[in-house]
Amino acid sequence: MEHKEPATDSGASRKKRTVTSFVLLFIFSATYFIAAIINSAEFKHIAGIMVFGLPLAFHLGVLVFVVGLVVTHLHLAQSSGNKGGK
Amino acid sequence: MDNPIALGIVVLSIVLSFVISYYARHATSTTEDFYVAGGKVSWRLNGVAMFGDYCSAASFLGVAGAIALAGVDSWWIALGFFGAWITVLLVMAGPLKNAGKFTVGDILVARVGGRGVKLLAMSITVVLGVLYLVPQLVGAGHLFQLLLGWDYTVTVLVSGTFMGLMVVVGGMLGTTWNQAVQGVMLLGAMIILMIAASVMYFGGNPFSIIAQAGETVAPTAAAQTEIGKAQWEQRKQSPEALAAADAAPGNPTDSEAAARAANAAAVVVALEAAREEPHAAVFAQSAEIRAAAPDAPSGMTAGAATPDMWSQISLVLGLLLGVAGLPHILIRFYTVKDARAAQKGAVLTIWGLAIFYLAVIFVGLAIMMVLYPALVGYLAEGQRGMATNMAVPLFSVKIGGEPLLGVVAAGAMAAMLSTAVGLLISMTTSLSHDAYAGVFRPNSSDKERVAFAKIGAVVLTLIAIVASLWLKDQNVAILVAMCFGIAASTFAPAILLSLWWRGLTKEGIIAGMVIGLVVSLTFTFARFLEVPDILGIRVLGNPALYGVPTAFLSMYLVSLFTSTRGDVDAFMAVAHRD
Repeated sequence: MEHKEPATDSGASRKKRTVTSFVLLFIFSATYFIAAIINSAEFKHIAGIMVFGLPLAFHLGVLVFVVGLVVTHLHLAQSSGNKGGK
Repeated sequence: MDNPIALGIVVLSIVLSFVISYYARHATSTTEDFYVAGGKVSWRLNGVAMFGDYCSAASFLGVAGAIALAGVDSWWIALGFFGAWITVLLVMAGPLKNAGKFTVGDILVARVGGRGVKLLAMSITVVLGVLYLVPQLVGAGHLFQLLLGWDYTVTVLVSGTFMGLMVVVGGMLGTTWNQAVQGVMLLGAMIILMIAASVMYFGGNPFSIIAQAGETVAPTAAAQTEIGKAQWEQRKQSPEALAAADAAPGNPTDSEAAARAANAAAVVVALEAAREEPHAAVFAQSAEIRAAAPDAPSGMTAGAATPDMWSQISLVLGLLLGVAGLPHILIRFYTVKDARAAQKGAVLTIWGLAIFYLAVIFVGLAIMMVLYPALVGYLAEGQRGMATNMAVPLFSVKIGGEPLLGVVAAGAMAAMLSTAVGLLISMTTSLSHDAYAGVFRPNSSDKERVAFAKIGAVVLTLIAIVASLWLKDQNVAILVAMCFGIAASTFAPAILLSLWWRGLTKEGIIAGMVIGLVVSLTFTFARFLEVPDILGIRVLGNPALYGVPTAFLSMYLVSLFTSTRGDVDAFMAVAHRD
């Protein structure tokens, strides 16, 4: 039993890490593709809506960077948590 | 010599690179040292080096130039370049470091085994490397011809030889330090341009750049207006421009010679406008165009220059996965000690890219307004490519004179060299490790493998130089497009499924990569041959929308009916260990 418990913990931790990585990838990809589609010719009337004096297209571009950086740090924090728990 | 100070700065940066390679020469004796710097590179150094490796001249000159011409729509290329790294960090960097050793082929072989997979991976690595390397050298040749008046052949020979020497002498450690130094130069140059533009022309507030761009007709639209064309024709009558047109070689009745004359005149007028014209006069011209064309799209008008939805999706998908399949990027994860260091390095790169590409939008829009007459003129002459490449150098002349032109030229050379040496070392490593040691001479000594890698570097350098001289006047954009299409449709799906899907088989990998390669190449060639559709399927600007799903689907379906999975449990345990 003593040998199995760490293995189970490791397996559970690996599964959690995998799920989190793909959830974070999904969040980023959704932001990225939605922003790209809104910026295409078909949806330019939406991209051109002015928000705080600037077109939505610009805000969406900045949002891609912000979401990318947040996701990056969440991933790194999760990896650090795993390391710390060992 | 037109620009001695600028030339001096460029030469100084090249000498610095060679000194770095020379001091790293001791680290090229064993295969592990030569291929991946012994895996001893710190995550900080690797992060900065990855930034330098990744930022080619397309990022440094191309994106800012494209924004200067068409406005905010062109920013999407930068967003795609950035987004790719998130994918790499989240699902590739750590497992890649854990399961691989020297090359992309290592991952696939560790997963399913087999010489066929190894040779296929090596072949694709070399094809991708050469396809990406040639545009770097061709771009350098043309750029330095324009910037410093260098002869194309001499530039290609010098930069190609220097690139080969850096790899042969310095191996991966020298390459790493050079890429890091060049990365800092690139980021520094872009930030300097942004701050200088804000302070000198926009009251120190970068957001004024955005606000004013919203009032300015984008040069792509302005060049189509009657007033824009008339303003340009008037400028071409200046004595300097007429003299340049007269001095252009060839018979003036010949259409090619006439084009050369127009080109020479356009360059002179643009340079004069960049050097001498007061900012108020430039703004007066753009205001005149705005008054004549009140409904024309501005630099901040969204959707005016972006393609239709499916082309846009294909483009961003190609960028997202294409970069994740480029061997010269992936190989850098092997240079650090563990998966954690690989991830931390990637995070540093992501921060660098975020800052760089955010600065690019401000610099691009500032260039649009500060160099307005020159850009409209280039476009009126139908010289969009030249306008894109020359925007940043002309801007640097305008705001900082020759010293800043030197910094930008050195930055452009750094961008080209850092990417080129990264490509070269990934190819030589794959040739030596995957083919020579892996298949043809498994019992070879360490010394023989390093010697083979160095000979490979020399041969590949010669091939790249000859190809660059041969393709001087060709549209090399097709090579870059092919590169992204191939990477997104071959390595990216193969690596992702190898790392995350237990059902993948050797036959699935081979079938998927071959089919992905064929589909992406078919649609890339169709696009450049201007074929509208293939079997009723529309040809888009980027082949990724067809190549990527086809590759994934082929790998999945063939794997369902085959069973060579290798030791999946052992591979997954190693790849996903904490």
